[in-house]
Amino acid sequence: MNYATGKGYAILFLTLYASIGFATHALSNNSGEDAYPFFSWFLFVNVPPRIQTGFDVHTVEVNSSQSLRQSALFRDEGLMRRDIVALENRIGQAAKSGNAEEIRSARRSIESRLPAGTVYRVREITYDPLKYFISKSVLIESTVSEFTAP
Amino acid sequence: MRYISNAYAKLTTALDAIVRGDGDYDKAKILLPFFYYALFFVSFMHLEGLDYAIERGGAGFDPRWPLVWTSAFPFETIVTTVFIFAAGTALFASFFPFSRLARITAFLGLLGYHAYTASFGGPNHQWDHWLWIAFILIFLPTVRTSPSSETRQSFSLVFWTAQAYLLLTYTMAGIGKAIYAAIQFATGQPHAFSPDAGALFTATQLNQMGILTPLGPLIIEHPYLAWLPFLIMLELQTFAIIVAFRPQLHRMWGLGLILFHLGTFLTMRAVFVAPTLLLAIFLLSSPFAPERTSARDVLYSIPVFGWLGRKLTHATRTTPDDR
Repeated sequence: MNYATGKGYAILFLTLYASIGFATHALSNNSGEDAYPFFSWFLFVNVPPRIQTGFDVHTVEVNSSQSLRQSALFRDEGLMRRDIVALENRIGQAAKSGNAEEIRSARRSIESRLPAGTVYRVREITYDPLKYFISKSVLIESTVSEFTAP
Repeated sequence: MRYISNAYAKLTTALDAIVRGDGDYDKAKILLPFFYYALFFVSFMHLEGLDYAIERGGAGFDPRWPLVWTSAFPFETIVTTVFIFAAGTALFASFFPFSRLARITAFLGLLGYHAYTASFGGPNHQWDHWLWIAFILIFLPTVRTSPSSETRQSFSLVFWTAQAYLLLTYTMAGIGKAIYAAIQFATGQPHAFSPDAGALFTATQLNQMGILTPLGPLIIEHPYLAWLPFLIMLELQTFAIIVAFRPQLHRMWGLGLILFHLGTFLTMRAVFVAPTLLLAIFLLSSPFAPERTSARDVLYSIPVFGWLGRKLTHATRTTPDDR
């Protein structure tokens, strides 16, 4: 391939790659899926909102003594914080939607790490992500469900 | 059609000024093996994870098309073959970087590994740049003892295409952010140009992952600290492809993009390490970057801000990029 032809191919390749990447994004409706191995590179394009919602698990009573140590018991069991957050959201969404099977499964995961008799509350929380990170303060909280570890 | 034809003529003319096939060819030829050394190094490191990959098992394994042959084999055989083939072919290309056959096999080895990492549900883009650059480098011409000027120029052109591809992906990322910034601005949401955009990304990520990063808490408590770096990041990304045509900016953009990856790791723990080595090989060491250039030339050739700087200081001197 001579240089002049190569120039054409180089520009054609770059144009095609970008076009297919953008088309992939448009067709996938921002689902993150791609036309392997092409990609749109639309990463972190949506700035998160200033008010967010999520779930947390709040221990209310441990062995009949009042305790409000948020998620501390999980951490004592060596669970990574990211796993706790995932677990909290899992049981929160299941409890909110009334998905009995998913509630059972999530409860098993949580309660295997709690002393018997622990009462815990699943809460839906609305918060400013910056303030929540700094002080764990929430704007609105509502109890979705309350369970007792067997 | 005429517009496309004019644009193409302008691009190829700009390319002719960059891809000369003299000193740039000599430097590109020296740099090429380092791509394959690095590829072998990372493939060997992946081999370290072979036990873990086998132990994790094939749950959720839904092979992408390059692994279509795998349906007849047990998972352990597939993973072992893919990992060892990737390392073996990368080593082969490290020894014969100027052999097209070796570069093709290295590409196929990496394609298998890349497809493997993307075969568990969601896509995994860590190695996309490596894959496509390995593909582009296949087209390097065969180099004899005394290559013709045509061959030298073609060699440089393929090297430039790899650089341009790397930069193009950042431009695509920047365009994505600009489009969504317009949508979010129009709907009254915080957007990429908002002063707290960097802090919102960081806090959301850290809250969701439940982790701490060295710089995350600082910018969450003082969101304005991240504003300027975030705007610089938008500039670095959006105009990256223009930089492919401005060799005096190659090293600076390479450094900027590496700092961007380092910054997002230190704040929101966005782990995107793989492209940084390519940014070092293809941009920090760019064979097209001039040996000597003035700070003024560099600053004035920065997309948008260079133009603004020229206007503000009433600079009348024509820079090479004004052609």
